[in-house]
Amino acid sequence: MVGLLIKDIRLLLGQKRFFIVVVLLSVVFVISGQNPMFVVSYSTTLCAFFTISTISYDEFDHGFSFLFTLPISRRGYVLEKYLYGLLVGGVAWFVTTLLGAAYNCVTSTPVAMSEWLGAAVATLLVLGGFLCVMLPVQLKYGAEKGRVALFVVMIVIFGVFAFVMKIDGLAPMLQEKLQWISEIEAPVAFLIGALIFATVVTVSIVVSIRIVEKKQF
Amino acid sequence: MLKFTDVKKQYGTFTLDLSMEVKPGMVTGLIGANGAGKSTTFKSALDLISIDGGQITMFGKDYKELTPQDKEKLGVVLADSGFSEYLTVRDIATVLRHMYKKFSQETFLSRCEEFGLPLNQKIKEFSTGMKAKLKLLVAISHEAELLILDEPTSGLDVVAREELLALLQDYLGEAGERSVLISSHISGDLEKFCDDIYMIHEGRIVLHEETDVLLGAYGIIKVDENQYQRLDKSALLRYKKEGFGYSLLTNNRQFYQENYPELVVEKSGIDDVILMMMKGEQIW
Repeated sequence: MVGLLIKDIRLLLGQKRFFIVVVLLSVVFVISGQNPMFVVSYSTTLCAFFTISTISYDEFDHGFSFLFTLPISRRGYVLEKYLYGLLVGGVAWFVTTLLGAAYNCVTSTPVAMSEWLGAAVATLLVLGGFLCVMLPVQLKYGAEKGRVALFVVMIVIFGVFAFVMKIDGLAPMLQEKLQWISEIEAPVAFLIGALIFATVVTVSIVVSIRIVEKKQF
Repeated sequence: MLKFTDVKKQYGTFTLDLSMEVKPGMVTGLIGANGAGKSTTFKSALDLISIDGGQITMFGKDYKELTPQDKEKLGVVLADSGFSEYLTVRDIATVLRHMYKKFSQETFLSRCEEFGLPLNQKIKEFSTGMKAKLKLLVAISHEAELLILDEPTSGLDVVAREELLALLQDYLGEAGERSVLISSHISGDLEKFCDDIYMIHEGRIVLHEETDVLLGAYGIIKVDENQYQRLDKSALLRYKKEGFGYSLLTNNRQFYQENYPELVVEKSGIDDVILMMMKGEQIW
């Protein structure tokens, strides 16, 4: 797995210009008055996309055939993708969260640290959720069809939101029904959230391993 | 080292159905036309595709039970696949160092330089010959006991092919019982290099012979109709109708040279044998 991680990190480092542009854009966003939390979610999301694109790199030019003749297992290949996503997305999230918090302190922006951290953790969960959906989709359908699948997933999510907002009284009713969630004690809510997240990640990994183990090249 | 026993694979109208073996210390060639089943055979051994029946063993184990540690003893070249072309030779060296215990980064990089491969340039900027050399250098970089080489000289000019085959010869001469399964549709490569050769046609093995015997004992006999009728056909494998009469493939050239001195009996190369085995009719 270490060899695979190094391969993907080397591919990432080969895109130095891309990351310089991301950093410059982030600085521009902040200077132009955008909320620093936007930079956290923007950078973290881009890194998530890069995890998906390493699969495209592997797939390109029948690369999978050779890759699976190396001393790796198919299970190890899948686990490495999740680890890579966690590392790269996690590092981007951590650095931008820290820099954003520092920026808020320096500019005396009236944002409570708990609020800032809460928003940052929510961004990390969204990143994790996105990878848990997109990694198995990309592994199953490949780069081209995976993009179409992502588009369909986004349409479905927006469609559901639009539907809920459109139906009179549905949104307030749902809000009332789900009110109890906001009344849960923070540590308990955190634990429940962590358990749900861990379940989602586990299911995603199991599905991805099954997909790759059945693939033929 | 590698053994296929009654291996079957169905793809639409194409059926692979073969048995073959690569013995320890042997260089075994697999030759056949495009679409004959060479790549399918290789991919089944490498567990890149499933098989519908039969058994494949590698290093004495069922191929499905090979661990990543077992795969460290394997070196592979695939004609249409390799490392991502967005990596450089140095990147690949670092990756290999963390995958193979017996990989020597220094030796690998110096060999790459010796073969004119730039270490810091992305592989996508390499020529066809450079990519082929890199694939082989990667395959032999970690003291593999078994090399599986699917058309390693495909697309190369004669000079580059000679260099690659010389590299392989040196590798095999370095240590004990290294084995190779190599496929090609260029018979000249296999004639010089292989101990034995399997011929595959439409998914089936049509011939298996030691290279020395193929080149030494096989021959083509050219006869007219009268000569054909009088001929002892016991050592004939195939016949092919020609304008002048028949071309005949024999695996005992000396018999016909001694007993029928008036006949035209020619030495055959592997290409001649392939053509006769595939285009000729069997003699019953």
